Amino acid sequence: MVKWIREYRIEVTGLVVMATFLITMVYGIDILEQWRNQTEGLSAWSADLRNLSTLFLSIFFEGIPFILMGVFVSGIIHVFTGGDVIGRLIPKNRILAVFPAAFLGLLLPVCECGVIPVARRLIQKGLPSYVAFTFLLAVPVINPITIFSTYIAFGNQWEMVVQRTLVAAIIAVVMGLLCSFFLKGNVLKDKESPSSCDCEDSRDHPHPAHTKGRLRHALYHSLFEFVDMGKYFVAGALLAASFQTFIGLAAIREFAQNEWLAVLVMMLLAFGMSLCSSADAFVAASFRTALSTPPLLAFLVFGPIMDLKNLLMMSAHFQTKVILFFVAGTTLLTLLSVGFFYLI
Amino acid sequence: MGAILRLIICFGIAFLLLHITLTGELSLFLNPRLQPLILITAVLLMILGWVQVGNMGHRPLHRTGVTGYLLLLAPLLFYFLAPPSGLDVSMASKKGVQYLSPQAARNEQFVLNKEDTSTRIKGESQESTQDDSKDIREETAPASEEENTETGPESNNYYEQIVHDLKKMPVITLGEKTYLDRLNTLQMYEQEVTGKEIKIKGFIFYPNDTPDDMVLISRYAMTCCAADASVVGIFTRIPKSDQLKEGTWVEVQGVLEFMETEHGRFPFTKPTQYHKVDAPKDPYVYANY
Repeated sequence: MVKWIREYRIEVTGLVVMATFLITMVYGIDILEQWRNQTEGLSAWSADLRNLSTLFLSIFFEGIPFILMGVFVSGIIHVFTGGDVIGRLIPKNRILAVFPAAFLGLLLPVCECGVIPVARRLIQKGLPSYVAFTFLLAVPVINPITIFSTYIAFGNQWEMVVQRTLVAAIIAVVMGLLCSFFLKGNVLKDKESPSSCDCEDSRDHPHPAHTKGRLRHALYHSLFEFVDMGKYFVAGALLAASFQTFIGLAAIREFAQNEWLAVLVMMLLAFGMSLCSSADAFVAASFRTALSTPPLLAFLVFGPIMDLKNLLMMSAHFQTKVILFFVAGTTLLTLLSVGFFYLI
Repeated sequence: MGAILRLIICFGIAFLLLHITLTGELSLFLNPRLQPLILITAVLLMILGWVQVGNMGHRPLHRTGVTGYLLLLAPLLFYFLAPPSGLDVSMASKKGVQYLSPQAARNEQFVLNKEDTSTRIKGESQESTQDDSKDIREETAPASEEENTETGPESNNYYEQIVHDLKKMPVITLGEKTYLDRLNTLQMYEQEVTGKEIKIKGFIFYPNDTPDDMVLISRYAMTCCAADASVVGIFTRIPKSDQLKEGTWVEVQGVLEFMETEHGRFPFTKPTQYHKVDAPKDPYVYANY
């Protein structure tokens, strides 16, 4: 019996899971409804809690389709193409190399969480670090999924999409060029620290050769990327919902009196919230009633390239001087480019 | 253990998504036009869950801490332990009122893409004369993306059509699906609608920055999700002595006027009559519905 179960464990688990799921679908709703009617007391306990729950779930429901899309695409690309394809496409000339790198995201859509291990891998494979940095900065914004979600979030307008993409491209290219002049030598940490996103290490687990196995493997990759990115996303959604419930957008309006202060506050928010670039547009859109375009743009441009969770992930791979250079450079460039919007 | 948690996360969230879609609770969180995305997501999650089933025995590709899994379970915990509902009035002061100036209202029109405009105009113009609708259709046809980002003639036509319809109504009502469009129209065509009778339903909200007896008959306007909802509505003046609590749902009828506030001119009505009504299941009005 035990042996039989062990032999067919996949099929058995599959059956059990499907059966549970079907039963939950059919009977679960009623039972849960009853149970929820009883627990109504918990949210009656505090209106804030109920509002927090509503806001948190609404951000979650809205962002999760885009995160999954990103995860599926990047999981498949991770396994089927590999980093060397990109390496071959990049020209040797410094300036010629940086520009296409800024738009690579259109071909290789990975979210900001997925892009750091990819960039690290590219550097390990001998790609100049400044090209990898441009890629790292541009991809989270300039990729089809982010563009699409920004378009949806801002009520099907192209205006914000174009501004966001342009500013991000400019920052990425300028940062890339700056890196090529000022950052010499090794940028990676010498010892390979164990990280949460080692999916690029093929020595970690061999990628199967045949197509069916590769597809399965790609999907399994996606599952883990989903878990990895999902946790940061949920944390961000919780933070954002708490902010809205306990402090409120109306408070931001106070800052909106002073535009520059608003820009700084929004950059700080973007940094702290650490939203995934494919979902942050929806949060930014929620500030639309309180703020003018430049602070929103600062939020949308700064968030994907520099935030708490990215910084954590980067500091696991890159040397401290690189991180400091990154923080200072992107902050200044965001301020400069947003300031430019005031002039026109 | 991790494998089982991943299974619960995938199938659990998929179940949650299907559940809110089936019960219609989705509209408490998201604009209903995003429903297809939610269904696709549920399918994708079930695929991921199925992949996990096939890999039960394999070791995980990388380590995820307990905190990670707990965070991913948070949506499920929140949904069941703190059952969400429509935002209540306590959020209104935190959200703040969306004071749409006529200029901003005009900007909001960009929301309309070509398809929406033509289908919606077709729908709206059924009551109007044939000549009108023919004109409009001719002008909407060659709309392109660039034209949509400028105040094109075609978007103005959309609102002219609404104001035309509003003027023909004996008593202006804003309706549920047409709420935001009609409210914007009122602000844009102040001259033409002043003095008309209006009937409006909403919850009582006392904004901080208006005189004491000024009440906003409010709704939450949702663009995409509850996080971006803001308060919209029409001002009215109800004697303090009536002591209506914030959040009470009322229906107010009166003559439409406009009043000057520090944010601009806004629709205002002095009620000839009002009465309490039951709160609707869905407190939101949706953009682009």
